[in-house]
Amino acid sequence: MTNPKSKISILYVDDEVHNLSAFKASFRRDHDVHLANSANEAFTLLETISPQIIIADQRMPEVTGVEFFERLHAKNPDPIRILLTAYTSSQTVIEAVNKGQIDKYLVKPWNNDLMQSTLQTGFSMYEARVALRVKNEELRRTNSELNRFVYSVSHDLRAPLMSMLGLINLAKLEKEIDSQVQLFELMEKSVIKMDNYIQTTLDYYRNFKSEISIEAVQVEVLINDIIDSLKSYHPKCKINFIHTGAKELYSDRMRLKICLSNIISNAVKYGRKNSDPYEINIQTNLTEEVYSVDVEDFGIGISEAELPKIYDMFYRSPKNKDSKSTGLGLYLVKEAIHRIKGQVTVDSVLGKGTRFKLTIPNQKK
Amino acid sequence: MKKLRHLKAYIVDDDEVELYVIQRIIYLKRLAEKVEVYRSGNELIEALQRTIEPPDYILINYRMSGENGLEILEKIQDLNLNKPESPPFFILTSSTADLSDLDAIMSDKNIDGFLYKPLIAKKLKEQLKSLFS
Repeated sequence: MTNPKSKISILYVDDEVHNLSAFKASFRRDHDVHLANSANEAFTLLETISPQIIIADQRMPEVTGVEFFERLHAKNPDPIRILLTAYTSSQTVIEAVNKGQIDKYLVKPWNNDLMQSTLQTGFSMYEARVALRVKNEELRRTNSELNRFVYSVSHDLRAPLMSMLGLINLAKLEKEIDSQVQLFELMEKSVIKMDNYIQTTLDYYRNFKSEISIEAVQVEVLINDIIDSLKSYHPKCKINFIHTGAKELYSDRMRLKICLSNIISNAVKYGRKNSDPYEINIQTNLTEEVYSVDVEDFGIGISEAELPKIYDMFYRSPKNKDSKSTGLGLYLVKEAIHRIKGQVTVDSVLGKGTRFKLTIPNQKK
Repeated sequence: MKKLRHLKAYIVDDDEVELYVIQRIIYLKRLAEKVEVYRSGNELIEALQRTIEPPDYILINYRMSGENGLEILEKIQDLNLNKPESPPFFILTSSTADLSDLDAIMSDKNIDGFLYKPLIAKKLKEQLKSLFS
């Protein structure tokens, strides 16, 4: 019996016209049937259609069914291939099946019920095959992302270490106490840079590994904590923060913090144009439904060409001389906000400033 | 023939800490008398165009934002600065550099030496000695 929901797209290739019309007569109501009189005609047709099942007669002039499937397999391995033969030349069939170009084999003249059930199982095979290919592609992508990640992390962790080593080499030569103090300050910066990098890497890991856990988060307190932790490193930045509306947002605290702290620290870092004091604005509003966050700076901005790339893993602006950037911050924001069903948008003008907007649903049940 | 401690050096790196470390090492080990630091290829080129007393050697970091060390060197040669002879050019590279970067540096005939970072005073001294004595 056929499932009316899944009309299978089938291509039948045979040099005998009455076979073609008999097939169409029997299956056109249940399925989407395409016909071809020769292998060449089939290939022409395949440029415009993508059937899930392809049936071919073995005995055709010029090209045999097995040869046709061999060529097809090289071009498109997805469709299920069914071979039809009138005579049982078992050697041909065994070879073809062993080579892997044939998925099913039927004897001519076919029995309609058997054909129907073969089409159904063929279709299930097709779906499994496609799902497997999609999964494989996904795995391959994750694997290369992982390789890149390992390379970048080790490379980027080594940079501040090498910088430390240089400072230590110098410290051994330095006799004056004042110069030594300066060296310790520079070493401290390298250590903070490394720690910052490791923290971000941990966030990356946590975001992927841990389950979402919804709890009541005091958003105003959370942002004030983030601001406090940034203040001491950026004494010239004045952070204006206004919160309106409700106090408790139901969301995942860890991911919420990843989003907010990255967006705010970016504004603090890139809001600076020169050594003058500068300001950034944070406005947040919380309702029963949604928490909206608006973070605005008046700093270096992002060029139009770079905007589409800012969320990419390990993307660093070539203009950004601040080697503190891990290239992970906004990537993490995008991944984390996706996990808490929120959205992030950005507006930026090069040299004028940048404005990030986050909208995060209040998941109070 | 010049004594090392009377030389004039230019250092180019986009990292402040590196600049500081290299500058101090050269000063403390007396590998130059005067040291000037620049943060990009453009700053270096401007300085070379302006100066009436060109440096005796240039130390330049390979990997910087913008142009790399070799590209900057090429630019300097195209500009025909410091005729009749351009100053010796040392490339500094991280020990974690890509192999392709190292290949590019090793096969460049225009450079007079290359050194790994972090800079070790003894290595720089050896190379300078073979050039200046």
